[in-house]
Amino acid sequence: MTTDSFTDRLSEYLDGELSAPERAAVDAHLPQCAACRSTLADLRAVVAEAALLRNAPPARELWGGIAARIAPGRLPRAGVSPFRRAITSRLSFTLPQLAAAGIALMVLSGGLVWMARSGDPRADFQPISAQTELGPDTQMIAPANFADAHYDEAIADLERTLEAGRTKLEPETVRVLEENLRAIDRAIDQCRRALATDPANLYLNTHLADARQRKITLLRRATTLAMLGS
Amino acid sequence: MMRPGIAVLLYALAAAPVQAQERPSRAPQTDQTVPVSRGMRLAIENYAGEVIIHTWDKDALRVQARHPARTRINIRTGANVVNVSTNGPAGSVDYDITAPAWMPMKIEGQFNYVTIEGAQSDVSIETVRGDIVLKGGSGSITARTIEGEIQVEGARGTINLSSVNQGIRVTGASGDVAAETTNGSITFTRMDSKTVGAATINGNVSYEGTLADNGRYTFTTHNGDIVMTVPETANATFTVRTYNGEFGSSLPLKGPERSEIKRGRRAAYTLGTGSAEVEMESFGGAIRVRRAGAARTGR
Repeated sequence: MTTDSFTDRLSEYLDGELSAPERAAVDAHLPQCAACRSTLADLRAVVAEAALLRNAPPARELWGGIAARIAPGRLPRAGVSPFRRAITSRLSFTLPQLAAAGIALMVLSGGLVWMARSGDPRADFQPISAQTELGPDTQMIAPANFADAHYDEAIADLERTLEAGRTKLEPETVRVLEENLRAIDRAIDQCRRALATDPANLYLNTHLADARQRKITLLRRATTLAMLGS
Repeated sequence: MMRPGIAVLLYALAAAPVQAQERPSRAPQTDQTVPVSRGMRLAIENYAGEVIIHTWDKDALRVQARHPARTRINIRTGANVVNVSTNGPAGSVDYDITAPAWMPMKIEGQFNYVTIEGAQSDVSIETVRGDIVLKGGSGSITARTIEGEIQVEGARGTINLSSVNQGIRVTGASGDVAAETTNGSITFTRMDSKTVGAATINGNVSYEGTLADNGRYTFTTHNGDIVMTVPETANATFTVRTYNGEFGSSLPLKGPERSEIKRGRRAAYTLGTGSAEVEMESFGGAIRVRRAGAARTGR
């Protein structure tokens, strides 16, 4: 394996998810590779800091609000869009600002890791407690869901802009977009329910993050279409 | 007995309604050819209609279009680009364009069905509703649609394909290929690429082709199956993750017991030297690795 391949395995090495031969290969590689030793030290620091975070649920359940708006028995009145939030905001955002919101979400995730590692006082998170009972030999990793509030805010901003431009899209296009957003929301919901019983599951956390990013990407694409239609 | 002349007359009268129902072929209202030189690119803006592009070895661009009477086709030649667009009331315009094979192409619009055959340079296609069919193509290839199927055949280069509500089919491609959709399946056939990525939410991912040494292949779905069909002589490390699904293989893979694959835990299986890296993740579907040419047994 190349050094990059070993680097890709360090997270699983730390989680204890490598097979015995793979772990032995990494053990043999580490004394010879300063870069991998440094990366492993950084990962250990992140795990230690993450253990101090509090598992704070989102301020509101996004899916419930969306489901209520798109439920068959509760079709919106003419002129009322499923994309509209219950509370309207006087703020409006330009497309560059919305694009920046999406980029900020990604930068935030990386920046929080950096701040936590450097002990920056701005990383003022409440401590969390893992709810999974694990054996004495298992390394605990708390679920990284501290970005929920920021994710919800980015989604809400995009939905507001899409609502404002809804009439500029063809009805069939709106229907297709809503259908696919629902499909992504179902995937997100399944991940969340699975995480409720298995919060430290690395695959579920990664899969949830991927699904959320998909939703943001699709919403961003939809808002761009709406803006172009004006 | 009926006279021949009357028989002919009766036949003609009987045939007339049938002929009247046949839609006459529409000759193009616009047929214009402009000279182009190497280094120039083609940019087409079409709100709605069909865009068919063929290629030839001439340094000229021929634009044929069928459109409403009051619509005018604009062909503007600049230093580095030929722009093709329309003026007049909104309506469907069907293009039949013949361009040099070396010419990079960009097609944009809302409701376009696009077919390109024989391109040997960069191709960029973006539409909201409409299928995209690309035969050939070399270089940077980008195809994006919201509601439409994407079919790519025989393309080489860096290929990025994105749909939302339908599937993607890639056949005989080489180079770096990335395909994503939300509500559709992604199918790769006769592939010879070193880097392939595919992601969908509601759909299957299937791959049939070679696995290049040191290649990287990533397949992800949420509610679908992943099926790979590869030669037994391939060298690959298959990394499998599924939360509610299962894994099976008809190849002699070395790795943990299949019962150990559960709840998203990563499991790695080796074929040959394990050179290529193959990652397969499905939240709730089955993951299968099959021997090329073997009958399907479900394992």
